[in-house]
Amino acid sequence: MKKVEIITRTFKLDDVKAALAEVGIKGMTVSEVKGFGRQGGHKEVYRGAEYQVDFVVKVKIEVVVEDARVADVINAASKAARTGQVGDGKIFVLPVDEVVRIRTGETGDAAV
Amino acid sequence: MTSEHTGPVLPPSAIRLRQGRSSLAEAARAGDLSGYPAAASRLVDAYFRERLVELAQAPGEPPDTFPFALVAVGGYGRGELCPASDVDVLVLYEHAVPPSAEALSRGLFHPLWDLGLDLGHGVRALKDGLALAREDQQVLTSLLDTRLIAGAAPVLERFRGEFSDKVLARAAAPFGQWVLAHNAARRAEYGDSSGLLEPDLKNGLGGLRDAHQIHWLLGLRPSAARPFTPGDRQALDEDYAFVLAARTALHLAARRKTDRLSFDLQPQVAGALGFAGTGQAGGPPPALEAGLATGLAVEAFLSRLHQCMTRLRAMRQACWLNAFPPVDHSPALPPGTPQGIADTPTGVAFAVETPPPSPALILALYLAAAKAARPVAWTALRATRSALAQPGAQRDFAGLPGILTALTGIFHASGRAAESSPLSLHGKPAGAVARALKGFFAPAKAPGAGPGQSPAAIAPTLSPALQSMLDTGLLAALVPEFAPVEHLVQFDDFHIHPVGKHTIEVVRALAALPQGEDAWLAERARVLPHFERLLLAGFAHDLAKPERDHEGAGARLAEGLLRRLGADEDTIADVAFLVREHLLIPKTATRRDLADESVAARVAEICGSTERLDMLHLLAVADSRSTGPRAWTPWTASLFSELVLKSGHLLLNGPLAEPRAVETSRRVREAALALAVQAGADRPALPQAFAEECLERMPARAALVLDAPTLVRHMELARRFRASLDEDLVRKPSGKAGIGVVEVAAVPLAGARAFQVSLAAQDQPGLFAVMAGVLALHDLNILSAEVLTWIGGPPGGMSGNMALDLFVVEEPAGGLDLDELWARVRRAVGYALTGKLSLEYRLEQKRSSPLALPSRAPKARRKVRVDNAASDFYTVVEIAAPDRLGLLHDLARALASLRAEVHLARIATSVGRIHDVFYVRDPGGQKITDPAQTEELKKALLHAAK
Repeated sequence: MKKVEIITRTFKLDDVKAALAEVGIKGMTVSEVKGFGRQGGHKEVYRGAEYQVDFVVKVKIEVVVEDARVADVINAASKAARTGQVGDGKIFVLPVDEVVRIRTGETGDAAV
Repeated sequence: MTSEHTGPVLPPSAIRLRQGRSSLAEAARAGDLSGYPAAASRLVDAYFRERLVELAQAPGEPPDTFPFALVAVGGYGRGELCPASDVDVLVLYEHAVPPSAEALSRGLFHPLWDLGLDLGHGVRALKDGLALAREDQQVLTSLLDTRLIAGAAPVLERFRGEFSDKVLARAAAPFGQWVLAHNAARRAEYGDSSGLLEPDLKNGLGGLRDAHQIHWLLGLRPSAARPFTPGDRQALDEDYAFVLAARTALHLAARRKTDRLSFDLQPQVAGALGFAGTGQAGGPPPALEAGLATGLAVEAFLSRLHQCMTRLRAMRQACWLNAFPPVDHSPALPPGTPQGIADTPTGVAFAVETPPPSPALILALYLAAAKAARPVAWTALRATRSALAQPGAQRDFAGLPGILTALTGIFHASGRAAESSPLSLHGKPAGAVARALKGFFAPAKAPGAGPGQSPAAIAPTLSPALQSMLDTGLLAALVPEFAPVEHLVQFDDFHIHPVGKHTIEVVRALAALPQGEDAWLAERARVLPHFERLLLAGFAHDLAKPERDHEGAGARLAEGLLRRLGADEDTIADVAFLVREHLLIPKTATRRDLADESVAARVAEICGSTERLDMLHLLAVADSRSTGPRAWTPWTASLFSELVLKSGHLLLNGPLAEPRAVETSRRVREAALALAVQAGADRPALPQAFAEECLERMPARAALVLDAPTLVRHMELARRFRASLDEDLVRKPSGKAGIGVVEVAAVPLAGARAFQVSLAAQDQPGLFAVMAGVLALHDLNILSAEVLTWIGGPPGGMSGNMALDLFVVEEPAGGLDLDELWARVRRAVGYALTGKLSLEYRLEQKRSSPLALPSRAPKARRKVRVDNAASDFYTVVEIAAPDRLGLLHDLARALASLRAEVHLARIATSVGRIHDVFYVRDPGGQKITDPAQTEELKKALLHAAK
């Protein structure tokens, strides 16, 4: 099992959600996050010395899927989230050791 | 890893549903596919009814006193559930939704979630449901199929009444437009399933959705049923049942929801439907024999599937046209059309249905439809099919006079785009869909305005006459040689269509050329004195598939058939030539050294005239374009043009082999020298002496295969390399210095969507393999490579030689910082050469990433050929093998380990398969002629290609 974390523009959330639904993803966790990547937020230079970095607001979508589906999920998400401009976001793939559905006690693939 | 002791606590009704579904799946796997969808639907019905009883008896839950209807909608409403279908249900209340609805839906739906079913549910008051249906056409379609599962029947009755009075009565015209927009989107997303080797069974054109649309259109506009006979309806039911059974088998085989019948699942699905070889129970329908003759169950299955989908698509088109016939239709049949053929709003038809039309009249109708650019009406399609089913019909049709003239006329008129042709071949698929959808959402039509009146209304894209001739089997009846390949499936990752469909796509692409977007090709096509010969060759080029030498055998077939049809000898000779040589340009252009004049000379010699060369070129372009998106790239296009230009030049000016090469090379050198001493946009002016010395040191081939600006870029590269080398020599002991010094220069190639990347490094064994490996590691797809070795290094001297490897790579993905990319490539080559980066390990890591999925296409065989005759100076090594990441790196390593030096490489890679050609020599600069060594070379490469 893998966890796929998709960090994307806020206004792309619906597109990504629809694209993930299309490849059969039924559940996800979404949170609003702040951060910056290669573009470094907005850099303000004041008298050549002081500067501040603004964090950019993004959404993070987390889904857990079986290994065989990872490629589908990434393809669908990156296609939907892409504008071609700086700040489209990132996708991380992490291994997941175990999953438990609390209500039923199911574990593993059955609990995803 | 589900534990035995955990899991949801299911009510008895859900447990029975689970057991029922699993025994149903077992029965379906054992062969009973056709019963599955209805039985699965009944099981879910039973669950809901039992569950309602359980809920009513449950202690503590107050019984729901508000009347409601539990309604199945969508596919479940039609009573068909495939193993992974959505279960769509609606809890419908007459007035407002009461608070108790929450407990009810929890009780009803939670166990279904726990079973893992895909549940779509709504809890609505009657008027909300109607409002939603008015706004959303998707909701409207799902409400067209409603069925009472349990609860108060009067609630559903009232809903149906109001739905038909208040929604449907006004919905027909916008719905018709929505269907068109929806189908345009389906075409863009899924393509025409009736002609694809990996069809989408539900949403592709010809898929189950077409049958649903027929059903909806007939419900909305009963008049649309006019052209259909009970026989048509029965055929529709049978075709639908077949595709539905295939979808059921597909879901069972894939164990998840997918409607795309991918290569890897086809054998299982074919087997489940009883296509297990020659011993099919009940015997196959006669149309199947072509597929069965090849002995492959999957081919027979696919061909049957395609025919079912073809009929579904044709019937849906006819149904739409009859539901919304154009209001401003004016008949426009070409002059000379015989009596008995009429142009009706719904297509060209026979004036009377009885007596049945004669074969000659049928042919005349298709010719008239093609010339008038009108569809063939459903009644005429049916008349054609039944005429073809008569005993002796094949002989009557094949013996008709004037077939050749009619076919040429139809081919000529077939150039316009059709619904069934792949969208990607017409430029911008995204734009087309956007336009189609915009056309649907934009217009605020005046009430009562029919489609076709508003300028923004979408016109239906229909099948041209040629497509209908293929669909009905008329083409195969007129030309019996076409019958064996009509439904033939080519199993590779290259073709996307069966041969018959591919053939008419080639004819269509050829007919469209004179008005095509490519001005140069259009001009060549327009000046051809005998364009019809090209069209006939397009039709005949694959007739002898799947024979090994399908070009030669096809030429003989074409000769025979044209002579029978009464073509003149010149036409026969030209068409046979074109069919025999139709792979000459693609093979030569992508696999041979185009700078070698003998290559262009051989092509010129085979053609003999510029007319034949042009026809061959146009045929190659149309053939490649129609094969699939992977066979045609701007890079291949540029290679085709280069070869044709060179061969054409030889034909016009006569062979001038040696003096011309010397002349070209002198001219390029002079131009380079003049350019080098001036400062460029991104480089300083080079001293004259330095530039001259560079020209001395670079191999003679450089001035033959490269242009002056590239030579100057290489001089500048050499200057930078010299500078970096000097710096490295200062820093490191002499034994180690210089090994990892690499310089890179990259420029885009105009029009070819490719980059030319030049890498300079100290010449050392295995360097080419390292560079190929690094490029693969950076996702750069190599198209061709040229190795130019500067004897004695750059001006200033060094120990050993400088290797300048020139790669043409496919344009990297958009949005990349290219300067940084090339800098990373340069660093990686340096690290790999100095032992700081293990390419084998990195490539293996990349291969094992979940993103690098292996192709699912049937694997091609590995083949290696060592050819000492193709070139005067090099041994030509050709390798065909299934593609994988880093393959070129491994092949190059194998070559290096046998001390075969790569001088030129042509890499034709499509996803799934490579065809690489290496021009190699031994370290002494000689061809590799020792049979023992060539044998070893073959074995080593076969091993590396694993």
